Amino acid sequence: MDKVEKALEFTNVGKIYRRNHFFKTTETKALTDFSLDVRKGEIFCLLGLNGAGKTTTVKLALNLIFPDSGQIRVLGEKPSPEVISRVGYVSESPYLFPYLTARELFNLMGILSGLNAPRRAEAIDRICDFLSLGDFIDKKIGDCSKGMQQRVLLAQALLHDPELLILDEPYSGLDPVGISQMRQYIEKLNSEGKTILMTSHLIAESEKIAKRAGILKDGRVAKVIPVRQGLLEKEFLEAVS
Amino acid sequence: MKAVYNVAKYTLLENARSKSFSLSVVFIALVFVSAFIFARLSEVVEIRAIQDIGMGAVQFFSFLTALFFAVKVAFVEGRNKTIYLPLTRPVKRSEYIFGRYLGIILSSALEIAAMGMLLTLLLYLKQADFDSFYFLSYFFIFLKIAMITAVTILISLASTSQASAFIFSFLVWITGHSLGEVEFLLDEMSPAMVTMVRIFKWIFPNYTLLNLADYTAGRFMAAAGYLPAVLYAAFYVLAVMWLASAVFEKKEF
Repeated sequence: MDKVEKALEFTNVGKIYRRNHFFKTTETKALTDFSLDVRKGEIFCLLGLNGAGKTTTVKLALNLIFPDSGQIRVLGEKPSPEVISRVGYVSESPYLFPYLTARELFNLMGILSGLNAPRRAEAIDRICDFLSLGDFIDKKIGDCSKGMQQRVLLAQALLHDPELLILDEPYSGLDPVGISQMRQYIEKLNSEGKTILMTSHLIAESEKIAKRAGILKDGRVAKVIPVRQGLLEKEFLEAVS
Repeated sequence: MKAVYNVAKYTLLENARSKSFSLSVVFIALVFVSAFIFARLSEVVEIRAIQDIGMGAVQFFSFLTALFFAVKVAFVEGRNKTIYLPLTRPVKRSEYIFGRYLGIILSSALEIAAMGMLLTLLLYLKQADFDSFYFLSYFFIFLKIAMITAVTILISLASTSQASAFIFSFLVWITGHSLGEVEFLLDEMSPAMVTMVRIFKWIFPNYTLLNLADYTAGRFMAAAGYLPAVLYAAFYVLAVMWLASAVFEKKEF
């Protein structure tokens, strides 16, 4: 029962990055004895200075990198292609395929997510409506504005109706209007029952929507706190100083 | 298989829209300029020059675009994080890399076919004899490109920089073309060197077996050699892509 209530669970996870250059290996500790859990249905925000381990945490959850020690559970299971089919991911910047149109990208991602043609068509209509993509859907992604690319990025993550949505710096590079829109999308998705894990540098924005926050420092969880209005910045600074 | 097919299809679409295909325009210009220059010479020399320059250009430009696409797929997309999109889907990494590979070689096939048609048209306009041997040469160029694409993907997956991926792939291309010549020097080599050359012949793609384009005029390769050459290329590609797939499976992004 405990498992199903946790959307994401890290237990004593360790991760070291190893880089090889001309037979010389350099090691960087990214996470040490890292334990954290994200409950189903909540908006959880990971906060930390640059290099604290936020993106490493996200990549481990998505099976893009592999832990050296400890255990990770995503929706109660070990990270694998099967469980990843229940997760949506929005990267820090719109890393997309510039020569494809949004519709082509959605079709490809829909196929890779295992959606058949009718379900894909229904999902694309639903997402375009939700994110007001309009005519942009048939425009080459490389020709779209940054804000529109960010929406395309969010749209592809929602195509397969994931239970857990992982957003890595979702406000990155957006103007104030874009930030406000993104916040509304996140709140609406959470109200529909999706669990949200997001990383952010914007403490004020995180405070507006997160239920709990984990503050990372030097690859460890310094503190996990319930978000209280007006106090997050103070608690963050105390934890990282 | 559905994932492989669709990744290949969208890779082909992407490549067809990318600027790299404009290299073919350079090819056309090169062939036409050469045709103009050699128009001053006798008729036979002119046609021969167009054939040789044209065939060399088909091979070189298709090699360059394949190199560019392979490095992009296996190195650049990892560095700029575009690869996160497909890899955060329930798709096997091996299916994804095979799909990408197929998409690239389909793009190369189209490019070689387009350039080959232009060259044939030019030769037709110059009233050269129609020769089906040239179409076979294009096919063997395609096999060479299929091999170097697989090797470049493998090298790019193991590389720490885009430049090293290009340089090492280029060196493999050169070495693969030199293996035949090195064979003539074996008698003068030390036993250690001979062993090294023999190992190289297993590791590097031996393009001497596929150099139909070089032999067009002399027609050195007997028809009996076609099938072993095709089988060699197919086996080499499968072995390298199997290795690339194993590396890709373990690679962290």
